[in-house]
Formats: sequence, structure tokens, C-alpha cells
Amino acid sequence: MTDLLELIELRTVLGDGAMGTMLLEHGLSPGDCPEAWNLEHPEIVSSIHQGYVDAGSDFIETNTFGANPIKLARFDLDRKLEDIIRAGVDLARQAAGKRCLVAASIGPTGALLQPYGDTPREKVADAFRATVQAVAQADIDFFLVETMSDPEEARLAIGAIREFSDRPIVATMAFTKGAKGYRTMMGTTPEQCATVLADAGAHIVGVNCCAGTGEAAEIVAEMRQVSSYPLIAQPNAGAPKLERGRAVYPESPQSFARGMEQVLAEGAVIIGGCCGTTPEHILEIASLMGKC
Amino acid sequence: MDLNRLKQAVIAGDMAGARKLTEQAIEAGIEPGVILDEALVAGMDEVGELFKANEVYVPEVLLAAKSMQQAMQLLKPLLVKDGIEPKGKIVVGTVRGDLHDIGKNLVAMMLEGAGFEIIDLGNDVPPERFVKAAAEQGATIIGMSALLTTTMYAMKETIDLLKAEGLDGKVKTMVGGAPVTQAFADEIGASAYGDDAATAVDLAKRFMAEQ
Ligand code: B1M
Ligand SMILES: [Zn+2]
Repeated sequence: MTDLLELIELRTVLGDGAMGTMLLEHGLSPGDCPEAWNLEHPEIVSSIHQGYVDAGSDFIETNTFGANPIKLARFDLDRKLEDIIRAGVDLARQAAGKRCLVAASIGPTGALLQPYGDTPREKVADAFRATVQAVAQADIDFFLVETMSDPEEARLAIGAIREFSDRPIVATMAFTKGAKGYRTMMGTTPEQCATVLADAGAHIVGVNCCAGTGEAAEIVAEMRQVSSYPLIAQPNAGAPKLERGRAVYPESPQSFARGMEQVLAEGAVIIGGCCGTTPEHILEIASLMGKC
Repeated sequence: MDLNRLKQAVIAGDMAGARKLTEQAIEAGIEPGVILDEALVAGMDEVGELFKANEVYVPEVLLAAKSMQQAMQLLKPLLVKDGIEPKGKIVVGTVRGDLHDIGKNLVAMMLEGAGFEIIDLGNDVPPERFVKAAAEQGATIIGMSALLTTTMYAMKETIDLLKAEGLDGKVKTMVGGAPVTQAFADEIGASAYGDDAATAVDLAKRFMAEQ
């Protein structure tokens, strides 16, 4: 299989859909550590990966989103960091075989940086270093830094990757639409983020975990205004609504796939899904792309 | 001594300034309760409005809260000495699976400022811990915060557990957080819904008056 950066020169690249919300469907409790399932329920993580491989994903993401020392310490699992990451990469690699690439998912630590938060910058940088060192020893094709809310934290993650690996880096951030348009929780715009991520060393930049394909299309359009970098979008299947105590994501596979056509029209070269998306959503995009 | 300057320091997130101006206000003989209401709480209210209007974002809210905290360190001993004795005990926390604690911390700080004793369980708090803490510490109010659509229902579990333990008459429940509404609070049987931190204080005072 070719390298991601070569692949995007050839055609639109299709990622996978959600892992977290799929694990919840399979019995993970909301307060539990999703990454611990790499060790405790590997067969379930595998079957979710397999669903995306079979649906036509060009890459799948390891179940390592929260596998950093700061987040794992909340579950008293920081000592298991390396085991969780190694198992996570192995599970994805086995499912991917030669059919698709494996991306190492790296999410935020959940800590807020000083001065507004209480966590020193160096503690967060060290957390990412520990994660990246464990990932870099395993067999992955590229890094996907995702769902970042603070551009500064994203910069620290990208910096740690550059210290220990020369694999490609994809970086995405989450935005909310407000009275002033799209902003991260820190108040930064899509334009500002696209620039910060690229300056930090990402090869591909974009958005994920936003409320639906319509928002993703608008955010990609804003990033396109200022960035010549390849763009990626992995939105949620809409904004969740509560139905009988369960969060339900409104965008069906069909409407999600149609919405993604607009995201592509705005200039994204990599597309996929975040919360609430399933192998059916990916399959539907694959068939619209004429992949099957 | 102009309390407006202190209020502006809170709004600007100027921690050192907020501390210094609070010292000056105390030295000038202004009542601690007045400093609290007219400068600190008023400042945080304004930051809350600015946040809602997207004029400021999370960093500004957090820095303002930290500035208020600085001032509170100086005021709290005086508030207690003033005979404003604890109005009641309140257990607060963000519900299971939810790590958002900025709003909860604001609510806790305002309740503390209003004279309540706060038992803060932090975030990601399971229903059992809320109920256990209230029972063990003799708290009469449980305040729960949730920011995720996916975690809101954990509030109902706490309320159901309180009923199962026969505590629902003795311990009131107050819920809040961005996705929470009055309708949701009614649906899950909460005693009250707080739209913002100031409302939370009013509600807690009302509960105590009813007892
Ligand atoms: C007891 O009685 C009461 C009474 C009143 C009460 C009360 C209790 N509790 C609150 N109140 C009331 O008084 C307060 C003062 O007036 C108010 O409190 P609030 O908490 O509402 O307001 C605070 C003062 C300020 N508001 C906030 O602090 C929330 C701000 C936003 C930007 C936000 C933040 C900061 C964070 N986040 Co998150 N985050 C968002 C938020 C989007 C936004 N712009 O609002 C929201 C809430 N997050 C969201 C999401 C999805 C997530 N977040 C996540 C993570 C984070 C951070 C860690 C990065 C950070 C939290 C840091 C922290 N220590 O709290 C993840 C979940 C982590 C988890 N398990 O909890 C993650 C799942 C993202 C991901 N995919 O990883 C969205 C929720 C969507 C939904 N409805 O389900 C979200 C709306 C953003 C979005 N549009 O996508 C009132 O509600
Ligand atoms: Zn998501």
C-alpha cells in the first residue's frame, strides 16, 4: 500500500468512522476507559476495525485516542500506556492487512494549559512524548492528531511526533458554531487553526467531531481561504439528540454520504466520520465514490 | 475605594490586580459581603454574559474565575468571621463520564461565596458517590452538572438512587449545565434546574428557607 501523501495525489482518500460511540454501542459504559478495551475486549475492537475495512476505508485509526499518561492516570492505567498502545496498533494492523493504512489516533489530554488552566506546558508535552515513543515503536503508517480544542495543545502533540518520527502527520480540530461563526473553545477560527497546525509541522490539516456534514463543509471552505495544505474532514453524524436516555445521531448513512459530497466540493481530499458514524456511513460514501 | 475597578480586574482576568484591589477594599472598610456581591459576583456575571454572546471564550472565563478565587481567599475568612455562618451543606460534582468542570467550579465558588459549605466531588462522579457523600456528610442538597448530551441521564440515576435509599425527601437535587433544561429536570424528577451560577445560589437559598 502506498504512503498517505502519495495516495492523496492520486484520489480522494476515505478514512473510517467512529470508534468511541461504536464501543458504547457494544457495552462500554460512559465513564469507562475506551482504550482499556484493547486489552480487555480485543475481539470487539477488532470487529469494529473489520467493519470499516470491509466498508472500504483506505485507512483505519487505532483505538488510542485517549492513550496518554494524563488521561490514563484518571483510570489508574498510566502504567499500562505501552501495553494499551501496542495492543491498539496490533489490532488495527491485523484488521487492515494489506488492504488499508493504519493511522495512530492521538487525542487531547483533557488537561487545560496554564495560565488559564492548571497544567504546565511541559507536563502535556511529556505526556505526548510518552505516547508518541510507544507508537513510533509499533507498525503505523501515519499520525492523526484529532479533536483538539486548544491550538497550543495540538502544537505540543505535533512537536512530540516530530521529535520521534518522520511519518506523515494529519491534524484536526473541533469547532463550535456560535454568534461569531466557527471557533474552538479557545476562540480560534478555522483559518487561524489551519495556519497554526501547518506551521507546527502537520502535512494535512482539517476538522473533526463537528456537528454534521454541513458544518464540516463550511469549516473546510474557511480553511481553504488561507491554506494551500491538503484538507481533511471527519464530522459527527449530526448533533446528538436524547431519545429515551440514549444519544442518537441524526444523520443517516445516506444523508451523511450526500453531505460529504459538499465537503469534497469545498476542497477536502480526505473524508471520514467521527461520533455517531458507523461502517454503514463509510460504506455509503464508498459507493457514492464508486469504490464498490 | 471604587469597587468597579475590582470588578473590571475580575472581568479582565487580572489575578494580581484582583487580589490587590480586594486588599484595598477590605482596608477601606467595605463589608466583605458587599465586595463579594458588587465586585466579584457582578464581574463573573458579566463574563458569563460575554461568554454566552461569544465575545469571550474559555480562557477568559477561566482567568476571570481564577481572579475571583484569588479575591475569595482573602474574603472567605472575613465572611465567616462576619457571622455569615454556613447556610447549609451542598455536595456538588460533574456527573459520571463527564470531565467538564468549569461551570461546576463556578457554581461551587458562588455557592461558597454565598455562605454554603461545599463538598466538591470533582468530575466523573458516579451516582453512588453523590448519594454516599450526601448521606455521610449530612448534606441537604446535591448539585449536579452535565455538559454532554450523553451524560445527562446519569443525573436521573442519582435521583433514582436517592429515592431507593429513602433520602428523596431529605436531600434536594439541583441540576444544571449547557444541555440541561427545565423540561429535562422535570422529566428526571430533579428538585430544581439552575440556568446559571447565580440561579443556583438563589435555588439553594430557597431550599434552605423551605427546610
Ligand atoms: C448544580 O446546579 C447547577 C446549576 C447551574 C449549573 C450547573 C449546575 N452546572 C452548570 N451550570 C450553569 O452555570 C454555569 C455558569 O453560568 C454554566 O456552566 P457551563 O458549564 O454551561 O458554562 C461554563 C461556565 C463554560 N462552558 C464550558 O466550560 C464548556 C465549554 C466548551 C468549549 C467545552 C470545553 C471547555 C471542554 N470540552 Co467539551 N466543551 C464544550 C463547550 C462548548 C461551548 N462553547 O460551550 C462541549 C460541552 N463539549 C462537547 C464535547 C462533545 C466534548 N468535550 C470534551 C472535552 C472538553 C475539554 C476537556 C477540552 C474542555 C473541558 C475542560 C474542563 N475542565 O471543563 C470531550 C468530552 C470529555 C468528557 N468525557 O467530558 C468531547 C466529547 C469532545 C471529544 N470528542 O473528545 C460538546 C457537547 C455536545 C453535547 N451536547 O453532547 C460541546 C457543546 C462542544 C461542541 N459543540 O461540540 C451553566 O450551565
Ligand atoms: Zn467525535
